[in-house]
Amino acid sequence: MSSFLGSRVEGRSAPVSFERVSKRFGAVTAVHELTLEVPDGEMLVLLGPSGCGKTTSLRMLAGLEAISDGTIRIGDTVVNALPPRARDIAMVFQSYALYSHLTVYENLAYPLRVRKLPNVEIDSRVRDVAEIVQIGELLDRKPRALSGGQRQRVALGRAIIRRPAVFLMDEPLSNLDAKLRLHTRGELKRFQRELATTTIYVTHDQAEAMTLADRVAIMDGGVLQQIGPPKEVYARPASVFVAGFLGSPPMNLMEGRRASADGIPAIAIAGALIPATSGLAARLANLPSGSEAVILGVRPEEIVLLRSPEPGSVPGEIFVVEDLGNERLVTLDIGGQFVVARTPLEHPGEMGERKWFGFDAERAHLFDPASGRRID
Amino acid sequence: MVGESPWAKVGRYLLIAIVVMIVLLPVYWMINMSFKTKSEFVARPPTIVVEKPTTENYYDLLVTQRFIRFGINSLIVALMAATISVSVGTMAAYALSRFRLPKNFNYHLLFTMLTVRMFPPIVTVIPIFVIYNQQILGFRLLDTQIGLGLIDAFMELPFVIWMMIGFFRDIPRDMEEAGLVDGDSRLGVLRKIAIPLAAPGLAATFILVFIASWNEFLLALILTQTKAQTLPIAVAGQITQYDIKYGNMMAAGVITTVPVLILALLAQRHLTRGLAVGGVTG
Repeated sequence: MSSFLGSRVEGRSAPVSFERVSKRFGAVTAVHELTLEVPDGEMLVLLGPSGCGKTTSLRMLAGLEAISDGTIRIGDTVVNALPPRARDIAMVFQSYALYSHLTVYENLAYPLRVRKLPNVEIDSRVRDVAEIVQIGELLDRKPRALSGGQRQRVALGRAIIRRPAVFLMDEPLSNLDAKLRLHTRGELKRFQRELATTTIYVTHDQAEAMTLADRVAIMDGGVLQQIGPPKEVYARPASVFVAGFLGSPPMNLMEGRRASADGIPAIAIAGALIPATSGLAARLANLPSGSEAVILGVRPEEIVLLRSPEPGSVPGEIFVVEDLGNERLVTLDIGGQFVVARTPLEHPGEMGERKWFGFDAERAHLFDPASGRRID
Repeated sequence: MVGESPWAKVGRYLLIAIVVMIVLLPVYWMINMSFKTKSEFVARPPTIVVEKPTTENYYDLLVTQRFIRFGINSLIVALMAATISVSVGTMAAYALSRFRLPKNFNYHLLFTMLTVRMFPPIVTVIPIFVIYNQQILGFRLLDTQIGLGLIDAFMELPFVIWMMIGFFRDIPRDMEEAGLVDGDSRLGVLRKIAIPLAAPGLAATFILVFIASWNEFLLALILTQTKAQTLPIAVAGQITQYDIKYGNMMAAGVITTVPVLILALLAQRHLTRGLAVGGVTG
């Protein structure tokens, strides 16, 4: 085993790198030239809608899927052609994939038995890990006699028992109920920090991504859209896709055109003119020449609802009002486009009522509709 | 059933009883006849329940004809056929269920294997006889237990592969992938995960092949002569040049059936679990 791993010391975390990695299934490209560096000990979350290539990327790293093109490294070792067992990884599957014919004890012991560790050591490590993931009293049970949360713990225990170079997690929380998911999410974060092992975590749940990640990598259509710390990705989405994917409810994306109001640059949306102040004007000037269309992005929390028109406000009609218990979401119909505003619960509003909304144009995000990229 | 009238219930059970009777009547008749003397055998009308039971038929078979040697032949042949076809077929089925060959070759292979069962065995038995009659490496397969066991195994192989593919497809792929990531090899995963999970199916397949080989007549008739004769041939052997020994045949039928019945009863739990689809997950 160790000969496969080159100079890497077993039981120590290692960095991971993807270099222009592609995966094609026949004519379909699942992952296109993914380039990604994950430093040692980082928790990277691959985030995206289903079919975006995130799970395929993880499976290529695990060795469960062959690579069509490119290079994957774990530590200094190119692992392209190595079987899963030679990659020193551990994985938590979405289904947990516990061995249903074996007891919890044997499930935990499996990775150690494969490595032919002495029984005494296996026993002590199984009991240690069972203690850590709090399943000490369940060791004699079969997986089918466990609850979803307990199964999840066994799966996690089986992954950490071996101190691998990299942890791979494929939507490990998606089969838990909402309350347990929140709780486990927190525990997972603690484990990862304590073990300080490089972790690649796949999810379609942005809340998981935001809370767990050191950095989050957002994928769509097999292409990496943006990578960065959660705060930064939220604050400065690099593309229309990222802007529309993150946040709940996501950013409002309004189609507008470049215009001018009394000689100063402005943006025309749904019949209203929003004059551009200096910063916005400078960004507007960066639109590719020849194109007049622009997408304006504003987070729901930055939208202010108004009773009467004010300069730079946009008229609309209340389409629906949704109360969330602690806040209220008001959706406005502005000439066929919808804009969601996050307001206090007591904010008045009736369906069909005419309203205006305003926002700080300086803080708005601009995107080029043709490329979908952010304009700064 | 909810809302079922008492009459419907009675009708249902009556129907079940009739079907069971139709199925079991020949079996009952065989047992009944096996205890009859020659004179009671030809009585008209026949006695529904044997009046003067005798064990002379069994005595003639077991003591005079030393029937047990045919039983041993059958046992060896059937065990060999089941063991070889199940072990080889399981590996083939696993490979075919887990690895995708280009150009839909998996399907073509599976179909080609089925053709073995499309021939009537009589078509192949003559060439097999000719081959078996040769001295190969100083060894002649004709009239040997090994020879018959091999050919039975070969004939049942497609059946085993088709059965086992179904059981392997039921095993969640994740579970084996977890094994691979946990550090095991393909063979390790097959041995420690796939086979234990498919065990009920494996047992069911083994028993079905065993029974098929145990009861197989045509190949055994042509490919054995004296030393390796199996039970079905010995049963037919009760029809002699001068006399048809009905009582003996019935007793021989009972003797041939009982071991299979015991085996099936012992393995009943596995059989039903194995033959019910989806017994693997959970």
